Amino acid sequence: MALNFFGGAKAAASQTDHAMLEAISRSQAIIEFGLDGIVLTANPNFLAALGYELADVVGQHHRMFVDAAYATSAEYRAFWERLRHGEFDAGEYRRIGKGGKEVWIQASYNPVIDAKGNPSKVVKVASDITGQKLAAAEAQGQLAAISKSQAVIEFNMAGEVLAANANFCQALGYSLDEIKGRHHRMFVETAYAAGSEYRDFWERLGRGEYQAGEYLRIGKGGKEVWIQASYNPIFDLNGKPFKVVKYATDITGRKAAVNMLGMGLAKLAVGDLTSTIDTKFVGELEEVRTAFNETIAKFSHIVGRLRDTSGTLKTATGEILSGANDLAERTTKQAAAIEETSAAMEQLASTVTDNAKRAEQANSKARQVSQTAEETGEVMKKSNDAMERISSSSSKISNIIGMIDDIAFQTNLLALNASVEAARAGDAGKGFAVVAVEVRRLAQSAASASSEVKVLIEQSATEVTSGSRLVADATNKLEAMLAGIRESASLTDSIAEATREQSNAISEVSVAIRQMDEMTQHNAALVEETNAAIEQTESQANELDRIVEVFVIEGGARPQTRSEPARQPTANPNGVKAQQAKVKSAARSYLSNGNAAIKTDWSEF
Amino acid sequence: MAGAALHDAYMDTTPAIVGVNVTNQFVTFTCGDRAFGIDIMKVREIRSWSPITELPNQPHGAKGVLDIRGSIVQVFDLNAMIGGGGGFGSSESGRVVLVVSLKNQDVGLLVDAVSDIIFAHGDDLRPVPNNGSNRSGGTVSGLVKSDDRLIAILDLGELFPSEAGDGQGFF
Repeated sequence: MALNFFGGAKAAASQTDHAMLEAISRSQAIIEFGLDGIVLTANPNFLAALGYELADVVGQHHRMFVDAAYATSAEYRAFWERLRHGEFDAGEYRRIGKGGKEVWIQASYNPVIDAKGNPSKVVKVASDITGQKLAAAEAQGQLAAISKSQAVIEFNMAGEVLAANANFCQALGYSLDEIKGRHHRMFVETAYAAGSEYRDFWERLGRGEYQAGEYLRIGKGGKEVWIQASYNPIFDLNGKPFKVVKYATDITGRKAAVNMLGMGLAKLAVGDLTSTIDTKFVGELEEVRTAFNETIAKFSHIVGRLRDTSGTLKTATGEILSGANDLAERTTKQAAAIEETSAAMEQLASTVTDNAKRAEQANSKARQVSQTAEETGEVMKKSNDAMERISSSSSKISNIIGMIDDIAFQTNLLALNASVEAARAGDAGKGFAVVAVEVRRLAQSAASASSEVKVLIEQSATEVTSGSRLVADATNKLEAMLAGIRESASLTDSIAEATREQSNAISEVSVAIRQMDEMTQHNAALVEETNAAIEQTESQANELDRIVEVFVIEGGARPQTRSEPARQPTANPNGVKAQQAKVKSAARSYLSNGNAAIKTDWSEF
Repeated sequence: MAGAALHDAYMDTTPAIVGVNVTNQFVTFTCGDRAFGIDIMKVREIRSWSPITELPNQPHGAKGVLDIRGSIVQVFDLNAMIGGGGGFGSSESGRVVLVVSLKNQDVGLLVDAVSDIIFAHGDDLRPVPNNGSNRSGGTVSGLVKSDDRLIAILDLGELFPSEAGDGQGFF
């Protein structure tokens, strides 16, 4: 173009030409060489692209921009030879910048033809395409890399094989020649190939839709091959798909492994812990397999231990239950005993109260008796005094009688003397004698009467004396009686005191019994709670047993033998339920009936 | 000496007994549980006992002297004189002094008690059986039956021979 420009237009538009060059120079890297390849000049774009200063490159040969091996090659010499003959050269070139920096440029080397038609110099117009070049190289490298690891096959839109890489051929067992030009359906099952689904598959590819997934494919000799593949329609510049590239990975091993794992997990899901996988898995799935086996082994171990534990738990629950039953029995017995004790204490208390009353009565009686005895003593003393007074009166009477006696005696004597005088008087004294006799008779009567009285008085004195003695005896006896009564009163006082102490002690005992009663009630409630807890524990243990039964482990005892008591929990009379019912009813009856001790249903304890 | 005097008196006064029974009344008394009687005419007075003043050297049976209305009377214990056994039946205070008249004087006889004055009618008066050797027959002049009982009548002359005989007595 520049050639035409220079050739056709001459000086007429030299000014315009120059301006155009300037414009080009602003966007493009431009460098000028002599025909011998020596740099004449370079614009700033070029210098910036390669990293040199203008002074660095002017006068230097072009070979400074290529690697040493290329500079010495015949090709390089031919390149310059063509330029010298006026032939231009254009393309992508690899050039070396300052410090060995690789720069890809798209350039044209244009020999400048002078007026005589001889080339005078070479102008090179270039642009830096290092970035594009690198991107292309990377894309290619990636494709190659994919091809190395993946099975790649290309189809045309009709489904016929255009190309396949070695990985693909190896995966399906074919050689490239065997499949090239054949339709894709040779890789699928015949039934599937005939179905609408397969047609639809290709139709969608034809519409340019991308397909990916895991597919079952048939290799050589009917071998089943699982692949993970993506079918990628490739579009032309108009956006129409013109071929399909399929990238596939052989996942047969993985698939098989996953299947086995799935089966193993399914067995695990139903509790079969014997399903270890002994076949080796591919790739990282081997780790999964070992992990699975370890898991199963661990589960098996855990389940075994769970079984043991649940068996132990059941035994322990049974022991606890029998202990709780014992406890319940004892509690009820204790409750009965406490009731009996309470009743006995009440009886005892009433007896003691009666005793206290009786002691009080006895005491008051004794006081009364004592008072009466003291009064009697007073009466005795009075009667004694009376006796003494009688005695003194008697003695006075005796004196008087003595006097009377004496008077009678004297009278008798006087009468006797009168008689004597009368006798002496002879006949004259006869009448007087009669009187004297009468007087004497009177005197004798008086004397005999007085002696009778004397006898009586003496007798009375004797009687009084004996009466006094009797009274004194009675007084002594009364004194003794009083002492006895006092002693008895003090004894009854002691009895009353002892009874009070007894009563206090009994009330303390009653308090203690009440406390015991409350404790027993608490115990009963506790026993009930315990039994409820045991019931829960028992059902939990059974539940645990059932859960554990689900698992099948190697060398494990049959679950049926372990859970035998759990199979018929209601039929067993000594079973948990029955025992608990017993305990519950006992506890309830105790709690509701305060004086249940007298109830007949307690006799069975 | 007194025994000799009694003996003498008995011997001397035997014939005098018969002439004494003038009134046939006797004062009976007890002395040493025995009942005796004395002719009432011989009795001067009956006294109750009073303390006796004792004298030294008295004759047998004498107790002492009493002042009876100004005259001194000698008192004899009859029980001691007639040889009664059993001693004193009662205390001296209950006893009685019989004042009897002898010929010249009065004497007191201390006896236990005066019982009665009895009348002896006819055959109530009996003689004392005389066997010659019984000395008591001298002092008893007779026996009087009274209420189925025989009471010895004492002969004062025999009892006090000196006084009864000559009347000189001890004075």
